[in-house]
Amino acid sequence: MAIAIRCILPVCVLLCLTLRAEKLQVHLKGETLSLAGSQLHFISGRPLEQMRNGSAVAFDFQLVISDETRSVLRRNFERFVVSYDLWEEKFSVTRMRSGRSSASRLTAALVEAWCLDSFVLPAAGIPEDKPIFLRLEVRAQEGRRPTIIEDDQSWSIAALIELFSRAAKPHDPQQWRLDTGPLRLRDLGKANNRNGS
Amino acid sequence: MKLLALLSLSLSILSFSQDNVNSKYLVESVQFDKRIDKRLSRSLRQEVEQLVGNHFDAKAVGELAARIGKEIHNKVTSRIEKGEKADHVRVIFGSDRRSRLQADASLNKLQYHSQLGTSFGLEAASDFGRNRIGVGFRSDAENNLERQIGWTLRVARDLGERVRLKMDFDALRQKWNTATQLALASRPDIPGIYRERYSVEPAIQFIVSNGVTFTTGVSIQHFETQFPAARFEASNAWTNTLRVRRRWDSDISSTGQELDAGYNLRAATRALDSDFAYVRHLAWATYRAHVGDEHFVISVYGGQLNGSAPLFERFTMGNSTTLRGWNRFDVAPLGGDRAAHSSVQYRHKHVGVFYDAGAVWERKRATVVRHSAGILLAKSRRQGSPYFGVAFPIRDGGVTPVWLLGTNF
Repeated sequence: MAIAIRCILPVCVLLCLTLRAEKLQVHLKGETLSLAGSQLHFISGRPLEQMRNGSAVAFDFQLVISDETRSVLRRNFERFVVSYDLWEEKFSVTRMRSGRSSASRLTAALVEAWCLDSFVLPAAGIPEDKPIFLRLEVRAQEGRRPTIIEDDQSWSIAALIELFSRAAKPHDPQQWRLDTGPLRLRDLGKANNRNGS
Repeated sequence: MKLLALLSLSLSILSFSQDNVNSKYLVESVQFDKRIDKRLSRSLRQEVEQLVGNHFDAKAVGELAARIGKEIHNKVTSRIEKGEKADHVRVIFGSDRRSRLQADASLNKLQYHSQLGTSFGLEAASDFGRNRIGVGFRSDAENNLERQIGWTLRVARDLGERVRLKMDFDALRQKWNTATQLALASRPDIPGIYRERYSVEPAIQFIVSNGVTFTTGVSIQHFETQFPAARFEASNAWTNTLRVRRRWDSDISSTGQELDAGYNLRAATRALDSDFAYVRHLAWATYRAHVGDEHFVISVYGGQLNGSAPLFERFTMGNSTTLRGWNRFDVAPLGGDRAAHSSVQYRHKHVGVFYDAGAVWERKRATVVRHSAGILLAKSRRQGSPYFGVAFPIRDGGVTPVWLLGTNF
């Protein structure tokens, strides 16, 4: 019995790691959490069609960190505007909120990776030794004038929260979601040390 | 911190359209599909053509697409393609195949007359391929002697670009004013009141040319008359309507003219198994002109009814649109089989005045021409915006104002 468990255990660990690799990947760099996810392909479907017709499409990113009881510990938003250069047949992307930066002449996959890489979250204040869950949601604006513009500064952030609080429609081609957890910041820190980062 | 986040997000949203990488390219040309090309006004076309030679501006193109859509009453989209010259783009405006732009649920009528009450109509419509189906409910005290309350069903299907099949169903209950019921007591020659009315009206509409439509069909009406005993009667008629709607714009976008004229013929015949035989003619014309903030409207209409027809076919006058200020039950509680009306209206920005003159009478009976005048306050400058008004019937003796509130969407 013990031999059987020893044989099965590595397989299970390998399976878990594989499953983890398919979810949202989180890295801790100093005091900042950054993301990666090879499964996130939002340059596709209707947004891609809109871009090929010359429109710029905005993608709203929301990262939610919650604890075991699913209480929200931290929330972060970002907007990326992506457009397709008709002549160069490459994509350009601009980060809109936390300091404008942009990149151009990228493929679709590079745009997706660039967006994730640019979407960081301060880790300060997040418990290091308690399990946390992360959820990344991406929504494409449909080309209508964004409804978040408000004169009343007291609830614009609330409007962003409301935008992402709307129930996601099943199989909605303009929404994407990646989850990960439970994980601990302390473990992420140890993993970074092992990797020498 | 929150303020900085808000400021950066607001600025980012406002500059959203400027982050289109194609804004570095010049617009080589603009193109329209056939439907837009036929209906676009000259002034708006000139505005669109000013895009040529300038850098591509997605926001400006989007706004122009929305304005084109409002003008041609269709959903308009825009896209760009590579131009023939290097680093140039073509802007292409296209319209939806569905020839109607309408919200899925809408309030298509809302009027208040201080003596007739409120009339409204609600409709929820949806498209299924080339078919459009709309379900509605209305309570209307404006257009007939009675108040009609009930459900409507509208089905339409486009066959190609110029032909539309239509089928309208109505299931209505009637409420009659005491004045009408009392007047009927002394007029046995006029068909009596009815309690319920059901109608089916299949028709074919042809778009003859730009702004000219011809509709032909059948109107099948079944209603339950009350006296001398409750029974169902039928009034089935051929219907034909010719309508012309044209608009002229000058080179200056703030001026324009519009004409809406038509003729409708309804002929009930026993060949259609109708219990009534009559012919009803109705002709109308409305001319609108605007120069900057000055708006003028002149409208006329006339009708003639020959034969024995149910009450819903008789002409009435004295509501929110005709002889404003008069109560139709004072003008003619049983309506008439002849009608003539004219109206002149002037508006400067939000304030307007009007003058109505008209008569409704019966053949071989004396005609009394009535007049009214009033003031309107419109919510916005555009045609059809909600308004509030007061109208005064012009007659010997006292003046009793009538308050009006409403809009025609």
